[in-house]
Amino acid sequence: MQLRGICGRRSCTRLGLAAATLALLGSGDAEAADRAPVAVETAVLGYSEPSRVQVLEGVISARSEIREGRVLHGRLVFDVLTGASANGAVPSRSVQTFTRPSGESRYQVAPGDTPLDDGFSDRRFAADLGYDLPLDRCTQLSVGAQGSVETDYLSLGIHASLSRDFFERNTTLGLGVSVNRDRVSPLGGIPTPFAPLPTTTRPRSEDDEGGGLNKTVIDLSAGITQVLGRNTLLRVNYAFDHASGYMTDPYNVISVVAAPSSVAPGTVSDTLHESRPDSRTQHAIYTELKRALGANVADLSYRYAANDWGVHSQTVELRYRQYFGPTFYLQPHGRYYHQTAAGFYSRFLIDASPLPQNASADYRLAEMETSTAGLEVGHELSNGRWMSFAVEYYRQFGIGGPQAAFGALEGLDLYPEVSALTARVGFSGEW
Amino acid sequence: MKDGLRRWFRLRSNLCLWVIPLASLFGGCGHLARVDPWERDVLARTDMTLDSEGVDLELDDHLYFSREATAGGRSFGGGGCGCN
Repeated sequence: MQLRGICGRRSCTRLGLAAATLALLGSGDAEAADRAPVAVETAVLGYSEPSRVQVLEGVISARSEIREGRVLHGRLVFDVLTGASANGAVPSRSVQTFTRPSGESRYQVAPGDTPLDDGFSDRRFAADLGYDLPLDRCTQLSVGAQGSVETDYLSLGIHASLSRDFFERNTTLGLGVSVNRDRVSPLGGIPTPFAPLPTTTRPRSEDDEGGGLNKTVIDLSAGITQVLGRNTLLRVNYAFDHASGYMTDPYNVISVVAAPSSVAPGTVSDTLHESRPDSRTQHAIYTELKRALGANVADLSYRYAANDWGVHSQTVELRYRQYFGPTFYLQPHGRYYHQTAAGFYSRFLIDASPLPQNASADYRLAEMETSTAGLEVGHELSNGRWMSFAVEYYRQFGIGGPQAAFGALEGLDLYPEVSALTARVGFSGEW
Repeated sequence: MKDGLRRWFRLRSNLCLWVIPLASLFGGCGHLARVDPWERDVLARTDMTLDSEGVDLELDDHLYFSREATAGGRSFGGGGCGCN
């Protein structure tokens, strides 16, 4: 048996001996040796924005070492989404009527209310299959493929990553690449940028089903994981993300309002489809420090991200797992996020002014802060199998843009806060 | 007054956001020492594995991906969903 391997400057002889010992110990249990255990992790999440979107999402993930060092892993995700979603238009002093994206029906919004499309409904099914294999004692290759299907969206992709241990596995360097090819096929077809929203309904035609455009997303990442001591790990990642193709939200609209100098300033005169650039490049730095404090564990992370749409964001997140005995823990979780607005974000357009190259009133592209506060409870059932339950409160606030209300818009809530409550039940263990 | 407090909080938050990880990084490097395989009792614990809460983190990341303008960095890349 070859026990010697090199992970950096020093030999991995001791690791090799440890592996051999484990293998010999394992061979005593013939049944266990015949069938590798399957590690299963599953969770169900409910997400609710009052008067808006409701989401139910389920995930099951499994992994098993099918041969020495070779691991097969897969994941299935299913989610159902219903409710009302902000369509981007501004509230108005009078009743507003919008045609749904399908073109088949219309909905009305009361004076002063944020326009929400209440016919929002979709289902998504996603799957991911991967295979990890060691290239030598210190290098591991992982390859895989993923796919996702929705009523109006199809995504197929492949991913690969390479990691290598150095300095007796105190340092790990990793490189990763992922390529996705997406197909966007919105209900009612692809809208023309800045085209007025139809004011009359029409029956669905076969032409609506054939319309679709593509999007390509390439992710590259490089990272280092460093052992800082017997109790502490540090991870630093750099991620590059480039998306090109159809990036516009086909269901989002933007209001055109009368100019401040007009007879009725601020009144809505038209509603147009939005338009976004056809590419986006993003850079992100992510750092994470994980430290055991006795039996308890603290996990602190920070991320800075910036993209060429003009959005800069910072995120800080903390999880602290406090054990009360070996089979029970509480884990508070907090997260704060801040982003600047995209350069083409605009709450509304001014009538008779030249159209910009791109414009979107999607509040997710506005300046915004978000915060998350949550608590997870975990309990070991038996044989290392754990069950957990978590509730979290998520809030989007400080939403804003460069434009101030005027005329008929004054006194209306152009940037309403959004809050959501999530509940999650999880289960993990080996079989 | 409210805007002033918000600006102050944001400035303080931004400073904290930079200072905490950098202090962790450099403070941690002061203790940088090789940990031998037989000293990995703590690091070998499941709850000390990075991404040990894989499914939960993916659910969280998907939620943020669909609600915010930037995403990724940990391991989850963009794409694969029409939610944003």
